[in-house]
Amino acid sequence: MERTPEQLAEQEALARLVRQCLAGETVAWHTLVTSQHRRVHSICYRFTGSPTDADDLTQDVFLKLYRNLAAFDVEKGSFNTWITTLTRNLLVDHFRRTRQDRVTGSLDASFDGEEDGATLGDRLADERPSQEHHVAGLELKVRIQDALKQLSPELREAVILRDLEDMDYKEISLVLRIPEGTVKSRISRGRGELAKLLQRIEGKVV
Amino acid sequence: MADFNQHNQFGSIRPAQSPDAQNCARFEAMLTDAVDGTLSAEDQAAFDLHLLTCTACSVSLADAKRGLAWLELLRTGQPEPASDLLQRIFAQTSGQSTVQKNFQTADQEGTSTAAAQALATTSSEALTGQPLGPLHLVPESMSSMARLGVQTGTIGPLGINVIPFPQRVAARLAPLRQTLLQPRLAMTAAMAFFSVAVTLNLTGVHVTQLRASDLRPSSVKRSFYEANAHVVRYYDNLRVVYELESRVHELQRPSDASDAPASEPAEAPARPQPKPDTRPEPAPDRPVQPRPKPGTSLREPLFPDRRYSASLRPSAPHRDAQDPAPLTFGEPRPTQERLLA
Repeated sequence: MERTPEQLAEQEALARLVRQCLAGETVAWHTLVTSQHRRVHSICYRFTGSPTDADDLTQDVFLKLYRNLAAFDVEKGSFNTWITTLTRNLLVDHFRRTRQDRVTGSLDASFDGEEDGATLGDRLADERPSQEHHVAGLELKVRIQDALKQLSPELREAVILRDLEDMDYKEISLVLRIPEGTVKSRISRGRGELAKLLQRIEGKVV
Repeated sequence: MADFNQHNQFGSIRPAQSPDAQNCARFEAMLTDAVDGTLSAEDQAAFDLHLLTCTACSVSLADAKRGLAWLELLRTGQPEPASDLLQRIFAQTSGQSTVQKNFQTADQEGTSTAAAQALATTSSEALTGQPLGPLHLVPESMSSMARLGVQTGTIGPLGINVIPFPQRVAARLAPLRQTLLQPRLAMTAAMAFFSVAVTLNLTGVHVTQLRASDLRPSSVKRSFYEANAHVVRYYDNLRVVYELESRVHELQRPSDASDAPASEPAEAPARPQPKPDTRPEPAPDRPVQPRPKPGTSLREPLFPDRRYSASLRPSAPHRDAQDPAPLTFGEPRPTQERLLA
């Protein structure tokens, strides 16, 4: 895997941190958690759309990391990939667990289950543009996040890892355990569907 | 081929027809690289050429670019994690050293335990600069442990999770019980119980009427003898048995004067009967009584001397000593002969 010198240095630093944790240095664990928790939280938040879920899932990720630290093998890959894989697996479990909640009565679900159909939320939404710019900016981000949440999970995770976390295709294929070609096609499809979902508000964005 | 994609009769451009569908799949795979701008020169040229004729792929490319633009907007301003998230994580991971021992899989046993214990010795006081008493850790770790499905007992003074014994036994038995409740095992158990119940019913023991007093040795013996007597009676009364016995009688009558004792052992191996106790024992001077007509099984009162009544007789131990089947040799002989008349 080609890596820039900065990435290599970061990888080495992480590997050293892990060794120190295993050797029993609490400060190393502290540093590890502090340096990684924002990224993990960001992935969790973008995938679930809920800050509280993101907090809980981040906690779970680090607990699992803590318990399985000894299983990490530097030879097998980068720590970043490993932690991202852990995060992604927990997100998948969470998604499956909460599937029941999504089946019934979601405002975001369209009538027939189509992604492009008029959702209940759309019908109830206030179509007038907001006066405040920063509120509009926030609203926009909220809408984009909502649209992201409506993507199917496979497309969602590919898009998040590529466009929001800047991982390269090789690493994403390791995390998601699919071939690189599939990664690329899922990213394209995810982006395309997101665009279709947001078509409605496109005209209002200055 | 390109003609297909031009204007149709009504002047509108038709979308790509199926001959191009395979191509479309190929170009879809190139889509991401096209957006990234990382296609090789010839690939890019082929892609552009395809786009000229294929509206579906053009639309896909445009959508992908737009979607990427939307996502770029999301890069900034993501919500902060909760302020106490770090605290919670450290509390959870520092207070879990001994619990971890219970849950590690085999391949993590060695180094992870050592690491965890080492991490636990330097408590979270070092991390936060404030002394965190055990009480502070207890509710958090217990709730988080409970959330993770860890069995929580009381937290001892060292932060050790002390699970009371009944809980541990229950936990040990719980998977066993779950295994036993699998349908096939439950069915087997039900069948076995059913068979046993039916057998007991046949032998005269009624499960529903069973009392504690029935388990006394005397009651058990009584039930046993009753069951035995019942079975013997049944066999005795079988027509087949009766016919065989009368046949034997006929054979023996001419020779009963001298050969009775000798015929007995000769008969014994010669007649492999299921019930050795129904073997006739003719006495030399036995009067020949008229045979009852076939079709009737009633000959005489079955147990005139109340042989098999429900009471402990002195002979009982004697019988037990000989044979489980009490009706074979020795005493019952006279009674047997009368039965066979």
